[in-house]
Amino acid sequence: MKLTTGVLATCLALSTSMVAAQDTVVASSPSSRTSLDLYEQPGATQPVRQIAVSEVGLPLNIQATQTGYHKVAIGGRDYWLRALQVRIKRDSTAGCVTAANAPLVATIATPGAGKDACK
Amino acid sequence: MHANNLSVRPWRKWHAAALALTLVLLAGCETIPKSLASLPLINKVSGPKPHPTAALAPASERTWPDAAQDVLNQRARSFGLVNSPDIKRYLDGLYGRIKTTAGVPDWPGGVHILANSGLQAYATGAGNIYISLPWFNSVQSEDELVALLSHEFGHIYLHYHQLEGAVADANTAVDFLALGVAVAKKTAQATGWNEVDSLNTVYQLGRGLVTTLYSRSQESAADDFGLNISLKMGYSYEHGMKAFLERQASWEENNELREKEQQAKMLQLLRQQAMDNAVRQNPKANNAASQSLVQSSGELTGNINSALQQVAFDMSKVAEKFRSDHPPIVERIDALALNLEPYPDLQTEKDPVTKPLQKALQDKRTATLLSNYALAFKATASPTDPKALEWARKSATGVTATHAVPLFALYTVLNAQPDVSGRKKVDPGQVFEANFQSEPDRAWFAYQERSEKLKDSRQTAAAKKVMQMGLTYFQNAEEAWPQAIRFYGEIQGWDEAKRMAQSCSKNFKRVSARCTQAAASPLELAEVDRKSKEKADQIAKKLFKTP
Repeated sequence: MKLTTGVLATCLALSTSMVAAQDTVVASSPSSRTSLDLYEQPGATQPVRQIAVSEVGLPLNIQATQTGYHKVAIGGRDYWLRALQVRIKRDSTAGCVTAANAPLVATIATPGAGKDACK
Repeated sequence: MHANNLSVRPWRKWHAAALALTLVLLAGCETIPKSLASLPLINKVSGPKPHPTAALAPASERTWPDAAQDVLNQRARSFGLVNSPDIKRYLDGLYGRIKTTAGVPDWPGGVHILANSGLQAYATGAGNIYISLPWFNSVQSEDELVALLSHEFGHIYLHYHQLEGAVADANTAVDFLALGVAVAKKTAQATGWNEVDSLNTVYQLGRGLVTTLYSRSQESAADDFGLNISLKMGYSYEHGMKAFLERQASWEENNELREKEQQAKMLQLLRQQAMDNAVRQNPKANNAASQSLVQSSGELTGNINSALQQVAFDMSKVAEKFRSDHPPIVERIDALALNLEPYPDLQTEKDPVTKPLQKALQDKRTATLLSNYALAFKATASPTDPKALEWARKSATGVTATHAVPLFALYTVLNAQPDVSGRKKVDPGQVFEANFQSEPDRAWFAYQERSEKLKDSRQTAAAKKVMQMGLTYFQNAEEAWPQAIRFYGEIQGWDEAKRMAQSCSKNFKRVSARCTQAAASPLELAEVDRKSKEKADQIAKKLFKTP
């Protein structure tokens, strides 16, 4: 029990400064954005350069996260991207174990936050 | 700050046009429910977008269904709910603040945890919000949790549950048409495809399209509502709505990959089967050349079969895209990003709110509960694993000792590994007794599983006793009735089942059709099946102009 609580606490503590290892930048946001601003430091007033989304080499592993920015490596150099300019692939603890017992009929409620992904 | 070459995707306009067109088409049909056209958002999706934190339109007056009965009903669906007063207290606190921000602090309803391993969340007309356990321990901040709850509350505030009534009305209209078909069958027309069939088909297709498009526009409006409320509460867009939708998108993408892998395996199996069949059917191919020919022929058949199957997969994907209740999630993320684009002040970098969530997750009982459910899901997924029994036993201890999901994990492992109990023969279904004894943890599926297995092993009296106990507790849960009717039909005869179905239809309009179907005897079902096949043949002949 103590171990579980400890692990959870550690994970959560890390989540504020570092993202989970699986989190990656997968696209620009919105999808129609064609270039990304690259920064030397999080919170810098001006980007050091802009790069076309097609040249970024997605997906990018996120090395670190600080308020509003993600640190990534592009062309062998580290940069910070504005979080609002990119879409992130985010991990979850979900799985499809209980899907076999899911009701055959749709919920009597509204459709829900997303589609029923377990088929 | 402004992105370059940004443009709005046209799906909203397309939806509006399709909705209008469908409604015009259906207007010619007298059976279209009148209430459908008067629902919010129908024909109202055009016009400039308001400011993301604009004042909300006043909520409409409504009659609230009983919230407690609604919860009981959800406990009768799938694996039911997770009884966790600690998590509930935290989530209800957030929900209370959301209602207050929306100006409706006294509205009924609370947040409940679904005992579901997927990422699932929905709201009901009774004011309750249901989220699955993995949502609770996957979100990285309170911002994200509030975004999820605000989105769901959007469905309630915007009164989208009117749709349920409209669909019920539509079903009633379809029932009348079905009656028309029944009458027609007694006439000479009954031998073939007739006008009633055409009308019924057009009606059902149209109804499906309207409700699908309506549901899609609901989701986007609920996203806007969620953004509005979460920003007003001081949470960030980046860690809130954006993160919530990105997590949902990632979950759906992962499952699509899983589905593709399964399809690839199935195609490979089809190819292999065709090759094996070819070899089996040509046992005399005893020299290398003829063996090679047979194998090639089998390979060709296999490739044709798998190509046909691939076409079927692709068609199903396209159909699903049209039928889906939700617009593609990336488009939803894009729509919110574009809404915020003109307002840099709403996009300022902010730290996520994490401490209250950390505190809730670190609570001793909650941490144990989460850990035990993770073990239960693991054991259920791999019941033959040498460690599965250990995981399942551990999952059904402490705060979750009487919960249905961990007990089901234990039950599944005991069934999968009958020898683990040694010489003494154990009835795995006995594990559910712990759930029956604990009132707040009771789940309808446990009664159902236990009574069915007892019935199958000819312990009829014991089976009836379990079902009776379950139905006594869940008698006000409409979801329990179709299964109970089927059970009693098989044990006490179909007249009794039909009597119960009448009572079900009287009390629970929404499940009326399912109750009637559940009361159909095997002979009646076979007859329906035969007629359906006959009708399908007629449709095929009509479509493909075959004699």
